[in-house]
Amino acid sequence: MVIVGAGPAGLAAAIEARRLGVDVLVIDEYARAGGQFYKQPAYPLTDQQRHTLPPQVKEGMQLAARAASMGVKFWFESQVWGLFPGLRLGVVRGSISTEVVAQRLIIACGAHERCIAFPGWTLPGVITPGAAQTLIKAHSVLPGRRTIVAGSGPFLLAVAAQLLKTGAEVVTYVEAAPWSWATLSRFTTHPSRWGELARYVWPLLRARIAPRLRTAVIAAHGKTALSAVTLASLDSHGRPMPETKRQIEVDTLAVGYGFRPSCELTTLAGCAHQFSETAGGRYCVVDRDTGETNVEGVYAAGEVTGIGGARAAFQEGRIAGLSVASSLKHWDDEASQRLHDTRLRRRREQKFADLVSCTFAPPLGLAEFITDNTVICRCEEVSGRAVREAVTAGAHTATAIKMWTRCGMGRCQGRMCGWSIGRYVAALTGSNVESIGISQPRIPIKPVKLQHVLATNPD
Amino acid sequence: MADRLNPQRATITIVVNGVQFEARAGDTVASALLALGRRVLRVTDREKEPRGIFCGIGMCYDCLVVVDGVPNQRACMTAAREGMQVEIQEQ
Repeated sequence: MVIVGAGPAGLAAAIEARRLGVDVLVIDEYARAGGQFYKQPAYPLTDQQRHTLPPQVKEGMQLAARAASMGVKFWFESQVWGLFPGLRLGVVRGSISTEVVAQRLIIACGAHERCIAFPGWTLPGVITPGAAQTLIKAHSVLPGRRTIVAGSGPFLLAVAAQLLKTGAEVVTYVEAAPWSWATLSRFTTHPSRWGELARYVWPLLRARIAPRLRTAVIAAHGKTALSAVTLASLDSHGRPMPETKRQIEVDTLAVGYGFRPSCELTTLAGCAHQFSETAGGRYCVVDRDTGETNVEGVYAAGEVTGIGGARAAFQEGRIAGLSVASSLKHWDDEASQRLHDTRLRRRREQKFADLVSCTFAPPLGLAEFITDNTVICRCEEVSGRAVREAVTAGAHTATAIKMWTRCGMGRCQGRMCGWSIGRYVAALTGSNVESIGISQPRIPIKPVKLQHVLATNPD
Repeated sequence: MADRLNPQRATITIVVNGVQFEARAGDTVASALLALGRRVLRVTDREKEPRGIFCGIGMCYDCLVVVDGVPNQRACMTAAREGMQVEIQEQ
């Protein structure tokens, strides 16, 4: 069995299937296991650092070590660039592409950040909250000195807390959703999360940082790098109110509006997808009791099946791993009980995830940040004006916009502009975001060198 | 511009546009350059606009630099190695 992605879902699937005797290969683009949630330090740890690791880093380290000790095979720094009939994967490792034939495939590629374009968002110094976290956790470098954390979602709390812990100045924390401290009372039904919540909220309270709610960064300023941002309060539709604009000097802005499932591989596989704002957008549909997609032999787990957080992803990974083992006739009595328990746990995590995504739902009016001079597509340098003119001329879907303007045709394949396009075009045409669709991922799903692909080595 | 949280880590030397700089074990090209205060990692083809780290996890392909003569390498996904030659296209 092949698993793509070594995050919570991928690792959990690998361990369950391996325990029952399945041959497991896990492929990941990064240099080490853990993915984004269990992000592991890239530098060698001292004994003291090893003892003071945050719980989720430690958990990831233990899971990865456990998987490796059980005989799970890992390919790191390996780029899956294509998927072909017969579950054949094209994987670039080093300077050669290898064809891997999977008997069963679990797609656990996770998610990427949801970004909305606004004037100045391409300036160096404007980063995603995930980038801020990666710089701190993996590389131990502060993203900047004076930072604003902005966007929406609970991940912002985690990033703001982390910045404060490392001694960075968090100038303010800006949340677009109509969230409030009182909202936290909704989470009283999930006592297992209180500790986590306290870890995020406490540093903010101690630093006396009051969240600015229903507020957003609507522009970033600077010549060669960020020097200031403009904030504005949002009206009940999420549209910025001009009279509330104010400018703040900062050198770093960490901005993001939650996550979108990374569905490139599930799309190439021909899996069925659905759209839901609470699931983060377009997600791969699976049978929740088995992790099976509608394509034979292909399973999906974790954020690709809808944004639900790491704990849900972990349970989904276990379900998929157990189901694959069962389909390959590797089974024991204990496995039946585990599968049953895991399904119940997953349902509980799903309830929590739904509560989170409803609480922090980014308002629709964010598309109003996009002006004629705003770069929407970072790769192909397509402006808001070009997209607006394409819409006027009759391009009303993401695919049509891509054909017309090249928006979404670049190296990132629409991962960074896709959400903006959906919302902007929906706003201009008065339709819903779902009907705009996506720009279809194409092989190679991430850029690879043709010479590496031509040197394909059948495995 | 930026600070290191545990500067005692082992140092390595990387060469940026022909000049030697210090980096640390565990750095990517992106984190090493940020710690050196260099935020601009490339200039775009069409509008000649500066770009730097954005997603930080290999998704956006905006932090492209030339590494040991090979163009279009993601600075955020490339581990810094002793003697590595990095070129930033600044103009």
